[in-house]
Amino acid sequence: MFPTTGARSRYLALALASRKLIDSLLLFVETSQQDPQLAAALAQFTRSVEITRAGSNLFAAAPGQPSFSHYEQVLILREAMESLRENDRDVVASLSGVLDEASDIKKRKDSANKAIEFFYALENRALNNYNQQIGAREN
Amino acid sequence: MAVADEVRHDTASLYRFVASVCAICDQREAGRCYLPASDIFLKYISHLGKRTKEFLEIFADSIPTGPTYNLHRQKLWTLRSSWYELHQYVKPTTDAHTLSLPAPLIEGLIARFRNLPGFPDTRFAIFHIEKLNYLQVVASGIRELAQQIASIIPNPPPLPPNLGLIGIPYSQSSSVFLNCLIPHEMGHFAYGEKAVGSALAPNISSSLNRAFSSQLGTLQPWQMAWLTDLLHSWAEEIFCDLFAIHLIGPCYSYASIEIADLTNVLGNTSGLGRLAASCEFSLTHPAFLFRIKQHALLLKTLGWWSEIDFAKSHYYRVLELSDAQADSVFTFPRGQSLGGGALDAFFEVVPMIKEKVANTVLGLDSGLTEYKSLSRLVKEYLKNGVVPSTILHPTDSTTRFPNLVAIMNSGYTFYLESLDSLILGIKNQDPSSIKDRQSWTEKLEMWIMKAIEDHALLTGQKAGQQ
Repeated sequence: MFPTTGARSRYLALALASRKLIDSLLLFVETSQQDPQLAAALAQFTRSVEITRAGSNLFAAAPGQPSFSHYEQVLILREAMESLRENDRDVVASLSGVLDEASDIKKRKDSANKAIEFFYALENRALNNYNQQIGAREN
Repeated sequence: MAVADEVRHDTASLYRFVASVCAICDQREAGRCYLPASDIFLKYISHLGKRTKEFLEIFADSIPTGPTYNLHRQKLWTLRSSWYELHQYVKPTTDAHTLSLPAPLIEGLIARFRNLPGFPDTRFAIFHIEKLNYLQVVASGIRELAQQIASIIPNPPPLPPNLGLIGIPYSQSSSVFLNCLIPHEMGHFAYGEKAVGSALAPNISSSLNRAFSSQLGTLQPWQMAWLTDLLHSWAEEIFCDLFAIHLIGPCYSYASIEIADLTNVLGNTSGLGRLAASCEFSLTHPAFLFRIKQHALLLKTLGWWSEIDFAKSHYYRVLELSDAQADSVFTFPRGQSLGGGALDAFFEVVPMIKEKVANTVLGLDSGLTEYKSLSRLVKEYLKNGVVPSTILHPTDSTTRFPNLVAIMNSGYTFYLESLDSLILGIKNQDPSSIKDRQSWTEKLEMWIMKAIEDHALLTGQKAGQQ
């Protein structure tokens, strides 16, 4: 498979979305304040992580853009999870654990820290790929 | 160097980069004028830069040097990358001042675009590109990028609404014929704004599920994502082609044939595989001949086909040849083992794409009636070296001002069919001379451009007043 011309902007979109979440999650860990957009943003990533699951056996319609389901984004999500040696179920559990209001605040912050680690890795990989595209010589 | 000093240095470095981009936006060369949308775009980037700089001024002192340092520090990299992305559009936009653009044509196209439902206030900023390619920076993508940057810096400016960006080759400022490709780029804007991709997503996934039903258990998620992206990419290109034909008529097809040198597929020798490469789908675009085939089908539907005298130009024969190709001749070798299934799924989606185009241009006059009424006269004027702005109609002696579609299509067909008749009427000029043909084509384009400009003045259009 090959990257397409939109690859660069897709990497950057993923990096920026990850950064927004890192900022919101850091705020939550440090002050217990929850950004009102955090739940929707985490849900979006949860959907994207689920798309990377090998168990999916249908092409899914993705009308609600952006859900980070593009080819390059799926690969980066996969790589980020592998770099943390976590499987996708652990990541999904961390993302949903942040929002679990039935859980105590300490557990939620633990989940938030794991999620931050994931998004940091994601942002880092996405930026690295973006900058490789910028520096690539066009043939 | 202490960590705090390092981050201060890095922040200042990014600050300097953002400031240099803003300076280009703010310090435009004296005497240069821009299309209003280009001005708006440059001002927006400058404003976003100002907010970014304000954020950077306090960033270095706010970053903790403890265990979360790296989490914060990486934000600089994200911001820098975002500004790299914006940077690439600034200088090409400042280069694209009105003297280096086919401004009357662009304004005429914008005026026509605004007749579409839902686009009465649309503006297009233009920038120059080095490649001989036309490029619409997907407006929704820029908007998304701007919104995302805005979400990580305080007090960002709002992105001006209804703003699209179009790149045109820097060398084609006076060209009329190749700039007939601009409507395709406007199609990308319409595609994004009308969320056509989202609307097609269920059709695309259903078609892929059918085409790959026997392999669904074995396909990897990234292969499925790749196939989905591929079909969306092809679908968008076909949408934009058909959109362009609705907007400007068959001259879009002629320009497509010219820029891809598709007349190379014609000839007398069989067995050389001339057609093979033109029948191959790429990673981003459907095969050239498949695209032209779709043009032909739409030209028939819209009534243009019967206006084409196929014997008079080899460009028209490319249309005929494409029309005659069955879907089975098209291939996608770079798709390897998935190529056949991808094509099958795509062919199934094409009727839905046509439906989306029809909905997008609903109510738009094709321009065919005026073309039929004035084309012969416009060509007669051009043959005599007269700018066809004001035409005295012989049947009722009324004065007519041919519109954009009539001028463009009459002009292009004159160029394809009757350039010789113009040259033969000029003393010491030879239609068999390449230099003379080039010279008179250039003049022909000037007359056509002037007629487009005059039409706006004579009919009181306000297209330029965005």
